[in-house]
Amino acid sequence: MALLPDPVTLLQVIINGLLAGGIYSLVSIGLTLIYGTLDIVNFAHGEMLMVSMYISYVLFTFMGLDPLLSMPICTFFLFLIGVATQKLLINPVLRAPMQSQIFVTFGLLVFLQNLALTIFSPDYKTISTEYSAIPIRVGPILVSYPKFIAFVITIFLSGLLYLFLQKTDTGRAIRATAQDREAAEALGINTSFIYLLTFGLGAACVGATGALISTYFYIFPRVGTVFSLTAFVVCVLGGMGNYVGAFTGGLIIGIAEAVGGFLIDPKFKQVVSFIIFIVILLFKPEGIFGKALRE
Amino acid sequence: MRLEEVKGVLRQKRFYAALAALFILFIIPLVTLRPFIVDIFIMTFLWAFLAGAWNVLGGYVGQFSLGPSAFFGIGAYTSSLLFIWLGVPPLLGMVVGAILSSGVALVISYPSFRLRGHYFVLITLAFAEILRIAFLNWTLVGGAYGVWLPVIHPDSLYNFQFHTTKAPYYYIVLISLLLELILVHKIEKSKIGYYFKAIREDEDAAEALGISATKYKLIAAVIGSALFAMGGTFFAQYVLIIRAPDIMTLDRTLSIVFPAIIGGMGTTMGPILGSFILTPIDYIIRASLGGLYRGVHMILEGAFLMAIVIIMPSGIMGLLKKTYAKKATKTSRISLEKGAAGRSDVW
Amino acid sequence: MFRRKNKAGVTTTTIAILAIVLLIVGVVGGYFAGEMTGYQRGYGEGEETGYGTGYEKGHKEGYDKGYEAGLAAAPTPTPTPPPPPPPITEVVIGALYPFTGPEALVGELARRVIEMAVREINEAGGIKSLGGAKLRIVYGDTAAKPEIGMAEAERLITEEKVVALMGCYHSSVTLPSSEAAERYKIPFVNPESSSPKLTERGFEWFFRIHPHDKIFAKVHLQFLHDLEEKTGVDIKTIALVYENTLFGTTAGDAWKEYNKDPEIGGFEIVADITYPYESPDLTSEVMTLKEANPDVVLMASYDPDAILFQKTFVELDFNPKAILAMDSGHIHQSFIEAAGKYGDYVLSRDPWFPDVKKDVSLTLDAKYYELYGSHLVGDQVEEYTAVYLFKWVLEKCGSTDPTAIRDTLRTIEVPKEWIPQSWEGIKFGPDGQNIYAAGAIAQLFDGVYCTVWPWDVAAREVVFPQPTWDQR
Repeated sequence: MALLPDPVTLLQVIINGLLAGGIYSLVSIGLTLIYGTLDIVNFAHGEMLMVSMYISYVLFTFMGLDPLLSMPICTFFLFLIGVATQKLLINPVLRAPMQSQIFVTFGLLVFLQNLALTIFSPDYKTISTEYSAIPIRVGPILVSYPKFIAFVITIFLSGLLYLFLQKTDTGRAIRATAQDREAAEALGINTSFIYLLTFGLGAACVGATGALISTYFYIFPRVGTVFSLTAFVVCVLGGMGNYVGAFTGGLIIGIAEAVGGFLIDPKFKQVVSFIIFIVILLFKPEGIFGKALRE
Repeated sequence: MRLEEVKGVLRQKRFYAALAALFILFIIPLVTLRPFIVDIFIMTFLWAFLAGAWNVLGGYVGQFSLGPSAFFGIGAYTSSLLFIWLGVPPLLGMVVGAILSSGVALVISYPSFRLRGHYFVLITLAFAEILRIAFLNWTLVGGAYGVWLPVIHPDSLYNFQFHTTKAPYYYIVLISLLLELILVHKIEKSKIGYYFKAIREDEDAAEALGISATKYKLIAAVIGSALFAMGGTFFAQYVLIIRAPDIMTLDRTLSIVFPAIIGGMGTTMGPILGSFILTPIDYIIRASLGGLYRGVHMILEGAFLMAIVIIMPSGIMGLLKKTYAKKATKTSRISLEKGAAGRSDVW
Repeated sequence: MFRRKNKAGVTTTTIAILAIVLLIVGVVGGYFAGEMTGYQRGYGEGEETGYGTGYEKGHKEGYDKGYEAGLAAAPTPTPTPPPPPPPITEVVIGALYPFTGPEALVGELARRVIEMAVREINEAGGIKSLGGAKLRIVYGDTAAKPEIGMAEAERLITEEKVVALMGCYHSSVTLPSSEAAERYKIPFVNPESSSPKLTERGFEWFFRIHPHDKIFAKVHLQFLHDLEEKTGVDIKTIALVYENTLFGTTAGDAWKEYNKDPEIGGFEIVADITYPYESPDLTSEVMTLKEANPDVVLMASYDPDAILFQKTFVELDFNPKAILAMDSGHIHQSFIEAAGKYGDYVLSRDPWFPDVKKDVSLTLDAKYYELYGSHLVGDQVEEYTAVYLFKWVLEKCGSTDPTAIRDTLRTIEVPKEWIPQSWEGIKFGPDGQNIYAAGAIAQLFDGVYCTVWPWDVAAREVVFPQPTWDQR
C-alpha cells in the first residue's frame, strides 16, 4: 500500500490503466451495441473473445501468422459467429419468455468454454513474437510495446465504428432500430437483417480485440469470464446501449482499477469494479452518460 | 381438508403412483448395500432441493437471481463456524444460517428489485461475486483455507455427522425435499402464489391492482435464500470442508439453476425432475467412463440448455403438461398453453 | 410476419443444434473415448471396457458358479473340503485425480506417469511375493471438487474393491477423500498435496510423500541465508507475492511465520502482496513492488499469474536481485515457454528437478521425454514414486489386506538409491509425513531447471544476482 506516491509512479500507473482501458472499451462497445439494438445481454460475450484468441493462436502456431496480421481474419470469423448466434439462438427467443433470452447465452457460455477446454486442454497458451516483451521508454515512463499497439488499434477501430454508426445509412438504420424497432420497420428498415448485422458487429469487436490481446495475454478456456465481468461494469457505467459511453467507461474503469489496485490492496481490485457497478445500477441505472433506462 | 377432498384425491391414480414412488425412495437405503447408490440419491435430492428453492423467486416470480451460491455459502459458513467456535449443534446453526441468509437477502434484494430483467440478473451476479471475494479473503472465516470441520465419532444427530452409514443423511435430505415440495405447493395454491405469478406475468399490471411487487418479491427472495442456506449447512456436514472458491462460484449457481430450467420453472415438480435427470447422469458417466473427456459432459449440458430454452421454455414439465393436456378437454389445453398460471395441480 | 418466420426457425434451429452437437460429440467424443477406454484397460489378463464388465467380475462369477455346480454334481452328501481360495492375480489400487473440468491437465499428467510405472512393474514380473500378481490402477475423476472426490473415493473402495488409494493433488479434495479412506480403513498415499494440515489430523491411514508448504517456506529462507554467505551479496529486504487461494495463502503465512525466527529468516519484509488468482492485469502489484524495492521477491503463483508477472516485470523494468518461487506456476512448461529468455535465472523449490544426479532419475526423465516431448515436473515424479511405493510395500508384506499394507507403510524404510528424488529416502513419521521429504532449489537456465542447492547436490553454480532485463 503506497502512502503518497510520487507523481512519476502515479503517471505510470495511470498510463497502464489507460492501455488496459482501451481494450475494455472495444470489448464493451460490442456488448452495448448488441444490448442497445436487441435488448439482449450477451452473456457469452467473453467466450467469443476467447474463441478469437484461440483462432489467433492456431493461426500463429500452425501457419506462423502474426496476430496483428490474423486480426482481420479473427474479426471476420467472429462476425460470422455473431450472425450465426443471432440466427440460430437469438431469433427463436426474441418473443420467448425472459428466461429463454437470458439463459440461451448462458448455455452458449458453458458450451463454448468447455469446447475450448476439450479441444485445447486447460493449459495456458501464449504467443511469443519478437516484440512481445519490449518496453518503449518515454522519459521515465515505460510502455509495453504490444499493449501500446493494441491500444492504438482499438482506439482506431472504435473511431471507425463510431463513424460507421453516425454517418452511414446502415449505421443510422441500426441506431433507428435501437431506438424504436416498430418505427424503424414502419420506415421500411429490414429489422431482421439489422439484428443479424448488429450481433455480427458486436462479435466482430471482440474478434478484433481477441487477436490484439493475444500478443501479450495468455490464452485459456476461462479467459472470457475475466473480461466479460469488466465489460458488464463498463457498459452499465456508460449506459447500456450507449457506445460512446462504453468507450469512455472502458478507459475510466481501466484507470480506476489500476489506481485503485495500486493505492488500495490489490486483493480487492475486483471488488472496486463491482462496487462501482452496484452503485451505478442502484442510483443511476442509465449510466453516467445515460440513455433512459429501457425495459 | 374435507372428507370430500380426501376422497377425491384417493380416487386419482396419480396419488397411488406417487405413494409407490415415495415408498421406493424410502426403502432404498435399506435395501441397497452400495453406498455409491445412496450417495447419488443424496446429491440428487440436495440439488433438487436447491433448484426448488431457486424456483420460488425464479420460476414463480420471474426474477432470475444468480445469487444462490452466495447464500449457500453463508449458510454453510455460519453453521460450521458456530459449531467450531461455540460448539453450537449444526441443526441449530442451520436455523441461524437461514436467518442470517434471509437478512442478507433482504438487504441486498430491497434495492435490487427496482431493477428488472437483465439488470436484476447482473446485479445479483455482482453481489454474489463480492460475497465470494469477501469470504475468500476474510481470514476470520478461514480465508483461502475455508473451514475444515473436525471429524467426530460416533455418529450423532446432535453433531450432524454420520460415518457408519449414509442413511441418516439420505433421510434428512429426502424429508427436507418433501417438506419443501409441500411448502412450494402450498405457496403455489395460495394467495401469495397467485400474486407471485401475477408479478411475473405483468408487474405493472399487478402493481396497478394494488399488489406490492416489492413486498412479494422480497418474500420470495427470503424464502429462497433461507432454503439455500439450509442446503449449505447440509452440504457442509456431508463433506466436512467448505471453501469459498469451491462453493460460492458462478459454476455452483449454474448447477442449481440448470435443473430448474431444464425441468421446468414455475412448476412444483420441475426442478425435482430436472435434478433427477441431470445429477445421476453426471455421476454415472463419471463412474462408468471416468468422466467424459475433459469437458465433453459440459459441452452437452450447455447445448442441452440452449435447446431446451429455445424449444421448450417451460422445460420438461411443460412438455409433459402439454402432452397430458392433449388427452384432457380443449378448454384446459388452452388455459395451459397460455402459461403456467393455468390450472394448478400437484404437479 | 415475424411469428411465422419464427416457427420455421424453431425447427431449423433444433435440427441445426442437434446436428452440431452430434457432430462435435461424434468427432471429439468418439476419438477420445477410444483413448479413454484404452487407458481404462487394466493390466490384468482381462479387459475392462466399462464398469462391471471386468474380467475379474466374470472370473469370480464363473468360479462361484462352477463351485456351486460342482457341489450340486457331487454324488454323496458328504461335505467336501472347501477348495483353496483362487490365487491373487492382481492388486487393485485406486487413483483419484481431476480428469474433467478446468483442472483436467493435472489428471492427464498424473495418468501418464502412473501408467508408465504400472507398465514397468508388471513387465518386470509384478509383485513377486504375491506370485507375480499384477498391479491394476482404477481411476476416479474428482473434477477438483471435494464432494466428488469423496464420492469417488467411496465408490472405488466399495464398488471397485481397491485395497489402497492415491491422490488427489488438490489439498481441498484430498481432505474429504482421505477421510473416507480412514473410515473404511483403507491406506491412502498422498503424493503431492502440500497443505500442512493434512498430516495434522491424527489420521492412521494417511501417508504423504511430498514435503508440505511449511517445509518449503523454511527451505526458501534457509536458502537465502546460504546464498548471502556464498556470494557475499547482501539480502536485507524481501517481498512476498502470493495468490489468494489455498496454495498461495499457506505459503504466505508460512514465510511470515518462519521469518519471525532470526535463525531461519529475519529478513525485512518490505511488501506483502496477495493478489487475486487469474488477474487480467498485474501492473499495480508490480508498481507497488518497484516502489518497495526488495532485494529478493518470494512468489507463490499458478501458471497464468507467473507468466503475467514475469512479463509485467520486464515491461515495467522491475529488477530484483532474485525471484524465488514456490514451484507450481513457475516450473510448468507453459511458464518456461511464455517467459522465454526473460524466465532464465528464476529460482524455484521443488522436491525434484530433471538433473538430479541419480541414475534412477535420469533414466526416468529421459524415458518420459522420449514419449511426451517434455520434462517431468516434481508432482509427476511423486506420483510415479507412489506407485513404486505400493510395489515395495506389497513385496514386503506379501498380502493384499489393507491393514497389512498400512502396517507395512508405517514401518517401511525406502533407501535413497531407489527413489528419483534427492532425499535420504522414504520413511513415515507417526503423523504420516515422510520425514525425509526435503526441498531442493533449482535455477532456470535456457528453459531447463538445474539444481543449485543444496550445494553438494548442485548440478550448476547459482547465478546471483540475476542479470537485469536489459542485459539479456
